Amino acid sequence: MSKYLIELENLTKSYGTDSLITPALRGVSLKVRHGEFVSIMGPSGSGKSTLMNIIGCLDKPSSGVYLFNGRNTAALSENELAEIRNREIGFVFQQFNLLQRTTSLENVLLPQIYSGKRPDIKLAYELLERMGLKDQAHKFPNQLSGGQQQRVAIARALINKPSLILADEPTGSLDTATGKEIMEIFKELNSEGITVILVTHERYIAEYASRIIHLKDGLVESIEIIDKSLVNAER
Amino acid sequence: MKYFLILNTAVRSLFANKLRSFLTILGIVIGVASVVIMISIGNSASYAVTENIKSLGSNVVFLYSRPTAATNRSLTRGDLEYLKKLPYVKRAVPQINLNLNIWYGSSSENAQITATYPEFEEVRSAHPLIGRFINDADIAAANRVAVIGFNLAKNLFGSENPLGKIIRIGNFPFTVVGVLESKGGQGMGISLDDSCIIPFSTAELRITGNDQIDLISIEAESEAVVRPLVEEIDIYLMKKYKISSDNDKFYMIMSQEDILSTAESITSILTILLAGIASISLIVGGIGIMNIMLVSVTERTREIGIRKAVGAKKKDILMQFLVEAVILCFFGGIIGIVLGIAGSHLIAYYGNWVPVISLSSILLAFGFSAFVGLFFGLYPAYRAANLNPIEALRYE
Repeated sequence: MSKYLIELENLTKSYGTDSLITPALRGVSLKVRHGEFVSIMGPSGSGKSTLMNIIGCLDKPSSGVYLFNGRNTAALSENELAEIRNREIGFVFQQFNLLQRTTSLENVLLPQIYSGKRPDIKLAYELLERMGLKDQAHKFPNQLSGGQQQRVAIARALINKPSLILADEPTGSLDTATGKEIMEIFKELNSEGITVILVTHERYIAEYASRIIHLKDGLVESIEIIDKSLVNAER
Repeated sequence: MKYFLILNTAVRSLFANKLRSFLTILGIVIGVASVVIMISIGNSASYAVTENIKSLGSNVVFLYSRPTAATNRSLTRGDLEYLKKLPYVKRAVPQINLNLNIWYGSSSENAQITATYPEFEEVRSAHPLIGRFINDADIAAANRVAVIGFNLAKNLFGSENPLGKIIRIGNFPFTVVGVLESKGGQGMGISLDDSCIIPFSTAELRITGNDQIDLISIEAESEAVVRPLVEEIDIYLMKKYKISSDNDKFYMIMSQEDILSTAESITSILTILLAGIASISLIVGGIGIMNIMLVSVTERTREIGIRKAVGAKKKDILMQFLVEAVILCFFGGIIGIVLGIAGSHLIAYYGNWVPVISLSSILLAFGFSAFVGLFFGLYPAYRAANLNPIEALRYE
């Protein structure tokens, strides 16, 4: 096991063709230790989403190095990246992104369809119960509140026991009180050793983390340390 | 387990759009049903024709007059007399075929008139239901008597008793002396039910006025001598009429075997043609499936993005959509086969023939529909598998 879960070295990402290239990331270097809780903030267009997509192995950088737990992702095939997404990373989205017409339980079990293992239905029930959704297991997403849907999404993110949770504005569609409840869940998960990386617009949400990375125009503008007792900041 | 889940996912997404899935299936149902029905019609026709020909007997040889461009010569009474004297020939029955209107009172029917000898009754098993067949006395006196087929009697006379009534064949009055048994629906070909039999000499002397013969049915002693007999007749006729090439032959010799193989090759072409036309509808059904699958992929872009984000590989997405297309075709195929079998029986019932449904036609239709599903499902599934997950997740 590598010392860092995430190591980014001079990462760039550009979109478009030869004639019109739009740079989204212009050289980001960043290290995240196992078990850290990091927030990424920045105005829109700063490259937050692009950075999340690359960290989440949904996209590949144009240049630079991305080591996930010591493995160079540039050397991995599409299938190997899909396996990392499946086993190592749990995604939580602003729009919840649950499959409609599919019950909570089945949504939670979805990643297991693609891991080639026997679906662990007992674990799925346990996770739903932990999220306070014991009675919602057989309901469909459109029968649930936003907060409940996001809890289902978190349970889904946890089903394969990932080392990293990537949350892209997880409270963006929720009211303040519900948003705080969701953040308490992330805090609890982090205290159990799961690394959490979170993108947000809201200062009070970002402050749940031990570090806040400020992005601007595709570069790391500053790193703010919230809880010095937990982290030795490193670039 | 994984395959069960893929299947489960596919079936559920198809059930979520019941009407759409049903309409998509309909194209395949119609395609498969028409392939099954068309092949069945072809096979039934083949069966009916084959049975008809087989009923002639395996030791029968037919010698036809076939006027060529160069000569309108026909077989004659002289040829008949020669054939009768050949060894292995048990019987040789000549026939003059005329197509004339038959009148009774004011009703008239167009019929096949067969002028022949009493032996015809045995050779073609044309037994009278009422009255009698033509006899030797009729031949000797060239009597104007007629034995009419079952349908003909029904059409001309209705419920009246035809025996002893005078009918007009062309311009000549004939007395009805018998009505033939019904042979039932013989499917294809001219049935004895629609023909009228008169004495050979009557036609020769009173209608045609010459000694030309259209057809001689020759019954050989046994099946084994049919081949040499055919050759001997051919050599004799070529020598007698000084014919040197096949093109100049004004006659045709066919054994039952020859007729059978000709008929079989015609009916098998018919079957292939019918199945080919029907399979076009199956391809049209396949295009319908492709269309719907493409719509489905677009509609479910976000779902595909979610699946990819949680670790679905390209091949997982490919399988999911391919399985959906194949399931559509599978159910379409099964319903189509059931409808096809039912339709074949229905058509056979109204067409009054024996429905012949072969396992191979069912397997062919089913295999073809599965292939259509795979072929037309592949492109939409490929599109789905290659969606960019980031864009797919952003899709509204």
